[in-house]
Amino acid sequence: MLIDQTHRQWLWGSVIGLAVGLAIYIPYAHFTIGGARGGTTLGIFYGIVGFGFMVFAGLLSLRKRFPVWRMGRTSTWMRGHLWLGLISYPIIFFHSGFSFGKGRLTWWMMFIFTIVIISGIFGAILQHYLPKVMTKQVPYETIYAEIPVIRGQLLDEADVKVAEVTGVSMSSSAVTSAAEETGGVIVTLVQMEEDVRNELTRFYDKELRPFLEQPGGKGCEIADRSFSVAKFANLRTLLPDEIHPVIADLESIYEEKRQLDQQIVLHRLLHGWLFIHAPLSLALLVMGAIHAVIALTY
Amino acid sequence: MPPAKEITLTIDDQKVTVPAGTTIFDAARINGIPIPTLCHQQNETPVGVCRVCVVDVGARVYTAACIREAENNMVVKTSSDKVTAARKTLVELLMSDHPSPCAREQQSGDCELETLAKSYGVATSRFSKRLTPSHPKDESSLSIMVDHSACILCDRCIRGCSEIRHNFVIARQGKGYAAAISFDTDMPMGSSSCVSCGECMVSCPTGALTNKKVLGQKLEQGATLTGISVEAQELLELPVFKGVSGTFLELNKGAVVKRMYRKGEVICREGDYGSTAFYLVEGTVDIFISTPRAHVDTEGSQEGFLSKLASKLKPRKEHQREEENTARKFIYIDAPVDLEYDHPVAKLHAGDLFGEMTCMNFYPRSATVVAAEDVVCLEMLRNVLDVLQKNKTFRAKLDANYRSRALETHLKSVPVFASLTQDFIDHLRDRVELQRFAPGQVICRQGDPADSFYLVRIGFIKVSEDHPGGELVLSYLARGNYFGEIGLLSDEGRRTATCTALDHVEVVKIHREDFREMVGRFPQVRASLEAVARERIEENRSRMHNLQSVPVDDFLKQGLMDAQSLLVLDLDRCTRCDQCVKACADAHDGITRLIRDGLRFENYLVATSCRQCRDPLCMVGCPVGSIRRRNSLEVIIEDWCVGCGLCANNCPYGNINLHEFPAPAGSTGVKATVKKATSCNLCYDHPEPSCVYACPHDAAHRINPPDFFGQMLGGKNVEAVPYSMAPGMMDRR
Amino acid sequence: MARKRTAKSLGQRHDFHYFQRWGKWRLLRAVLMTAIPAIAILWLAGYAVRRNAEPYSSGPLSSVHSFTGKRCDTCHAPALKTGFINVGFRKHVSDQACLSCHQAPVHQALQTFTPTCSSCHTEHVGSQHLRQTADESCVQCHGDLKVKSGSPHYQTAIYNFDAKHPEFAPLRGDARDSGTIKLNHAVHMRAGLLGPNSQAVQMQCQDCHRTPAEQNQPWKYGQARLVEATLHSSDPHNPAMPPEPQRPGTGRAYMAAPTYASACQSCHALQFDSHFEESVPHDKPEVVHAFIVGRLSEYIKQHPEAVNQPSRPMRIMFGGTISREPQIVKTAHNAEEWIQLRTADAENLLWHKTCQQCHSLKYRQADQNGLAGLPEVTPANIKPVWLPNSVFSHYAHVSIDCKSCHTRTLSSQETADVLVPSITTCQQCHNGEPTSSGQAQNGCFLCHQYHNWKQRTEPFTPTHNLQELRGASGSSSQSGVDSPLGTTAIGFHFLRSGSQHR
Repeated sequence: MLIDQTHRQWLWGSVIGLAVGLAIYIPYAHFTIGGARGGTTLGIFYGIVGFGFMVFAGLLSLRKRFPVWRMGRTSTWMRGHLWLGLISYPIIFFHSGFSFGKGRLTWWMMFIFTIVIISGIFGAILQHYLPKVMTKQVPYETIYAEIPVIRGQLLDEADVKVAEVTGVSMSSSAVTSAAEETGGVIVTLVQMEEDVRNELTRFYDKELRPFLEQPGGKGCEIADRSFSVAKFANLRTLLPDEIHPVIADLESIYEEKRQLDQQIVLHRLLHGWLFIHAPLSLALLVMGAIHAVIALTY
Repeated sequence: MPPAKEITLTIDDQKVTVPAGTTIFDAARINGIPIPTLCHQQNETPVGVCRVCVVDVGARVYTAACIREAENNMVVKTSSDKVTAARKTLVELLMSDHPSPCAREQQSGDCELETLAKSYGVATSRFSKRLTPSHPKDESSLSIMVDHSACILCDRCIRGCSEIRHNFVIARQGKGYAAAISFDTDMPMGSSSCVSCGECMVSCPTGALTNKKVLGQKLEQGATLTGISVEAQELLELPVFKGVSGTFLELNKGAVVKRMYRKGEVICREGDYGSTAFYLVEGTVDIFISTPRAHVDTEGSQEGFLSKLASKLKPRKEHQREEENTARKFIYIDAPVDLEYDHPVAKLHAGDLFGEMTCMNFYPRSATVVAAEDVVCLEMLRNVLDVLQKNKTFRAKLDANYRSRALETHLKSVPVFASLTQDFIDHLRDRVELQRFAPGQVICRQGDPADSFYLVRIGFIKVSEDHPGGELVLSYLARGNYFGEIGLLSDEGRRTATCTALDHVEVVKIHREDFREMVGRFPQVRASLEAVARERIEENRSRMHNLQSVPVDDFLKQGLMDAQSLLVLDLDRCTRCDQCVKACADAHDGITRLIRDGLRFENYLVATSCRQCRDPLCMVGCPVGSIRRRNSLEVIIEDWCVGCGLCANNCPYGNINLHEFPAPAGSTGVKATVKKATSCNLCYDHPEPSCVYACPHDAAHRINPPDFFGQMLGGKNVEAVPYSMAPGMMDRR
Repeated sequence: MARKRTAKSLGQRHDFHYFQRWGKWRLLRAVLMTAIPAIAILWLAGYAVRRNAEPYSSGPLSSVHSFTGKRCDTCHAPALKTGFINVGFRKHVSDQACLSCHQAPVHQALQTFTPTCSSCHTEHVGSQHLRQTADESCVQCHGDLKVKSGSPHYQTAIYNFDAKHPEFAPLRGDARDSGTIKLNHAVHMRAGLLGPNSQAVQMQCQDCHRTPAEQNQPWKYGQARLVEATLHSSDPHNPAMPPEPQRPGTGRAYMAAPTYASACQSCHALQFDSHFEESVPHDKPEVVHAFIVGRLSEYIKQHPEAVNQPSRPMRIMFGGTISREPQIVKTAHNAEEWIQLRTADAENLLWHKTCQQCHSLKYRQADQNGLAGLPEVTPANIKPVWLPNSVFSHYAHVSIDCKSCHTRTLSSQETADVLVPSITTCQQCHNGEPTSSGQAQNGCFLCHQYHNWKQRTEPFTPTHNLQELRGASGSSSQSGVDSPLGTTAIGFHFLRSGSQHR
C-alpha cells in the first residue's frame, strides 16, 4: 500500500471534516451548561458520526470477503478505512467532551480505541514502507503460505544434486523420483578421491542440510550470508572444477532458502500487527454498540 | 515355348537331372544339397550381389549359384576347401561392418549373417569397423526400425517392396561407402510413401529392418474386456481391409483385436489418453460429450429477495454468449460426425471409424462412446490404421462417409456458410476434394495464386506471415476453421499468408469456381466472409504496428513480447494479502486462475496468469477445440473441455492448469469428478478483471506490455500509478 | 546443470488451494477474532448476571448518592414504555426521581420556566458537591431575566460574579443602616479610648462582635450570656433542643448582634443615683423604674434621715428639654416624697442622658403631676443578616482580619453607615476557579440558593427502604407509600433486582 497522491482527496476531506467538527465543537463546548459530554444532543451526534466511521472501518474485512461484488472498489474502502478510521478518534473525543471515559466501560473503550488507532497507524506505516523493502531484499520471494512446501522442494532438490554427485543417497524416495526429473549427472565423485567426496558430504550433512531443513535457520552458522560466501568459496577451492556447477547450484539453493527465511520475517512484520488491531477493533465495535444502546436507553 | 528339356549335371559328385533353365542353386536345392545364401530369396528375382552362394564350376572365377543357370554336364563343387575359404572371407568382410549383435540377433537370434558367421567361426572379424555408418538409425516409421549400419545391401527389401508388394518405395542410392537403401527420395521411412506392410522387414536377412513392436501394450487386454485376436484371414474378409497385406497382418497380430460390447458398455471416455482407433463392424454406438457445464454456477437458485439483491451485486452477465462473430454451434470431435453444442449426442454405425486423431497423433479422446446395442468393433494400433488410411478402398469409403455425413454439418457449422441452401450443399458435396497433408507440409504459401478455399477437417494448421524480421504466427486453425478466403475474395488473388500443417491434417478443398459460385449465389455469405477478411487484415496490421514500436531486448527473455495482456503486480504497493487470488477464485467457482509467483520485471511481478499470447501455443492440439480466442484477445476454455491437459502442457508459462470439478448431474460415467482445464479469461463476463477490481492497494494491473513498458524500455521511469489515472493502460480491451 | 527459473516452474510448484487452507496463522486469527470480543461480552455479561450496572455508569457517583450503587433504576427510570421493551429516550434523569428523596421548593413563582433537576445538578462526575452547579445554569435566566408577568425586580443581566454582578443591595443607592442604636465606630476604635476604671484601652472588633457559638466565651467588656440554661429542660411544652453537633463552623456563620450585657456594660454603666454604686438593669423603662423605686424605698427605710437632705440642683442634660423654670431645690417631706423626688431625678438623668446616649427614646406627655411618663425605647433594629438572599459564613473567612474586609468601620461615625463590605472586596479573591492559584471559587452556587427553602414542607416522608436500595431480591417499597418510581416498569432486567411490576 502506498499512501501517495491518490489519497489526496481523502486527506483533504478528512481535514475539512475535522475542521468543521472542531468549528461546531468549540462553541458547543463553551455554551453547554455542565460542559460538553456524550449525553447532549451534539454529543450524541458526534457519537453517532464517530461510531459510524468506526463501523465502516470495521466493515472493510466484510467487504474483502466478497471481493467480486460491486459495492465500491476495495481500494476505495481501504482508503475510507484509513482516513475515516483516523478521524473517528478525534470525533469520539468531541463526543466525550475530551474526557477519556469516566465510567468503567467508557474508559476501557477509550483505552482499547487508543490501542487500535496506534496499532493501525503503525500498521499503515509498515505497509507503506515494507513492500519496497521486501521487493528489494527478497528477489526469490514466493507465496508466504507456501514457503514450507517450497522449502521442502529445495531440500529435495539439494538432496538429489548431492546424491547424484556423491553417489550417496540422502533420503530415499524423493531422491529417486526427483532424479528422474532433473535428469543427468555431470560427473560422479565416485571417481574422485575418497576424502574429497567426504568433504562435500560432510559439508552438506553437517552444515547445509540442517540449515535447509530448519525454518529460520536458527543455530546454523551458515545462515549468515557473509559466512556462507566464504564457506562456498572454500568449497570451490577444495573440490575439482567439474563439481563447481553443482556447488553453484547448492549455493543458489542456499540463497533461495535464506531469502525465504527473510521473507518470513518481513511478512510477519508486515501482517503481525493485525493480530492486535483486528480483534481489539471488533471487541471495540461490540462494546460500542452496547454502549450506544445503553446510553440511549438511559 | 517348347517344354523345357532336361539337363544333367554333377553337383558334389552327384548326378542331378533338372529342367533346362534351372539355376545351380535350385538344382542343388531340389536334390537336397544346401548352398548358403544371403541375398537370395526364393520368391524374389535373384540378383547375386552378396556372392555367398559362390560355387566352383571349373571356370576362372567362382560363380554365384543363385543366378547362374545350370548347364549340361556342369561339374559343380559347392563346398570344396577353396570355396569354403572364399565364403568365410566374404562373411568375415561383411561382419567387419556389422553391429554385432544386431537388432534381429537380439530380438530373435536369427540374423542370417551372424548365424553364417558363427558357423564359419568368424563371429568376430579381424578387420576394423567402418568409422561412420552411411545413415543414422531411422526410427521414423512407427512399425519398422531401420538400422543402416546392419544393412548388407542385399537388395531383398527392394525386391520385396517392388516385386512382391508393388509399392516401389525402396531403392538403392549412393556409391561406395555412401551406398545405402533409401525410401522414396531418401526420406525417413515414416515420412515416405511406405505403407508399413512389413514385406521389407520380413525379407531382410539381418537386423537392418526390424519390427519395432510399436506400442508395447497388449491390445488383448482391454480396459473392461479382453479382445479376441483376429486372424488375418478374418480381417481380410472385411471390405475395408481389401488390399492389405496378409503377411503384414500376420506379423502384426497383436495390433488389431476384435472387441464385443454389450449394450450400455463404455467403449472409450472423453479425456482419456489413448493410442488406438476403433472401427465398427456391427452395431450402433452413442457418441457424446458429458453435459457441458454452464459458465455460470447458480448456487441455489431460490429466487428470493436476497438472492435477487445478491445477483444485482454480482456483476456477471449470465447466460450470454455474446457479441462474437462466430457463435459456436458445433463441437468438432474425432469422429465422422460433429456434435451440436446444445445437444452433444450423435450416433455412429457399422462401417464408421473413430479415434483417428488419438491413434495417429496420440491426442486424448475427444468424446465418450457408449454402445447403444450389442456392438462388435475392431481396435487397432497406429500401424494398422496407417495401412488402412493408405489403402485405396478404405480411403474411398472414408471419403464417402465424410461427404455423406459430416461434410454437410461441417459446412453448415461454419457460420459464414449458414445461409447455404440444401441443394447447393448437395451440389458441393461431390465437388469438394479431401486432401491430406503430412506434418510440416505447406498447404499454401504466401504469394501463391489463390485457387481454393479450405475447411479444416482434422488436424492443426499454423497460419503465418513472412516478414523481414522473421516469421510471425498469426493464428492456429483447428477442425472447423477455414482459411483461404482472403486470397479468393481479393482482386489479385494471391495468398496473404502461409498455411502449414502441424500434424496429420486433412482439409476439405473447395475449388475456385465453386467458391465463386457460392459467393455469387449467396450474397450473405460474401458479406460475412468479407467482414471476416477485413477483420483479419486489420488485426494483422495492428499486430505488426505494435511489434515495430517497441525495442525488443531482454524484455524478450521472459517472452513478455508475446503477451497481449499481462497481469502485473506492483511489488512496491502489494502487501501480499492474497485478495486478488481470492477474488479470482470467487469469480471462478473456487478455482483461482492466477498465482502470485513468477518472474519479475523491474519492480513488477509478472503473475502466473494467462497472457493472451499472440502466438497461442496452448491452442495447438485441443481435441475438441474448446480452447479458443474470443475476438482476438481473451483466451477462453469452453465448457466441453474434456480435461486432457494438452493445453496445460503446451503453455510455456504454466498458466493453464487442470482441476477437478464435481461431475454435473445427469452425466454418465462412474467418476464423481471431471477434470477440466482452467485459465484466466480476463473476466470477460464481468465489467472488469476481478483481481484488478479487488486489490485494496491498486497494485494489480492488466496491462498491454508495449504501452506500459514502452517508456520504461525507452529509458524513462514510469511511476506506478493505478489504472484509473494512467493513460495508455489497458486492463482489458 | 544450472538451476532453471522459469515462469512455468515457479507458477506450477504451488498448490492451487493454498489460500483456502487453514494454516496455524489463519487459525490463530480466527481464534483471536472470536476470543477477544467474547471476552468483552463475557466481561459485561458477568456484570449483568450479578445485576450490576456499574460499567455503564458514565462516571463515579458523588459520595452522597453512592449508596444507590447497585440500583441504577433508583434514579434512571425509563420514560417511555413501548411494547415489551422499555425505552428511556435519552432524557436526563427525570425530576420525579430526584423528588423521591429531595425537596426542591420553587425558586420564584414568576420564573418563566423551571429547569430540570439534572440540568443544574450533574451527577456521575465524582465526589463534588451536587450543589455545585455551573454558573450557566443561573445565567440561562439571569443573563437576560424575564418574568411571566410584570417586570423583574432584580438585575436583569448577571453573568457571573466578576462581571455584571450588581453591588450588594445594602450598599446600593442610598444605603443606610436602619439600626437605632447610636454607635460611632470611629470613636470606639480609636487609640487612647478611656475604658473602665478610666484606663486607656484599644478596642478590637471581637470585643463586641462574635458569632453565636462564641457567646459563651468570656467577654472583655461584658458578661457571657447564659445559654445553657435552656438546655436540658424537662418542660413538655418546650422540648429541649438537641445540641448541634460539634463541627468547626457550626454557629459561626454570622455574627450575633452585640448585646449591652456582653459588649457595653463595662464602660457604659447605668448609674442612677449618688447613693448607689450599682447600675440600673438594662431593661425596659418599666423595669428600670420599678428597680429605682425599689432601691430608693429600701434605702429610705434603712436611712430615714436621708429624707431631709436637700437634693442636688438639677443638671442640665444634653438633649431633652431644658426647663426654663427657676430651679427650686426641693426637699422631700416624707419618705414617699423623697422617693418620688429622687426617682424623678434618676429618671431624668437616665431618660435624658444615659439611655439617650445610645437609644432613641420617645417621650410621652407629662402628666398632671408634672412627672414625665415613661419613655418608649425604639427597638434596636440591629440587622443580623445583611444579605438575606445569599449564604455567607464568617467561619470560612476566619483567617482574615475583620478590618481588611469591613474597611469603612474605622472611619464610620454614623450608625447609618452601612459597614457590610462592598462586592469589590469579595471580588478581590473570588474571581475564578480555585484551580488557578490565587483564585477563590466564585460560582453562583457558592453564595446563592436556588431553591426557596422557606417553602420547604415539613416533615419529609422517606420513600425508599434499605433492602430495596441495596439490591436484595423480592422486596418492594414500603407499603402504603405510593412512590413515583414503584409503579413504573423498570428498565433492563439486569438493572433491577428481580422484581415485580406493581
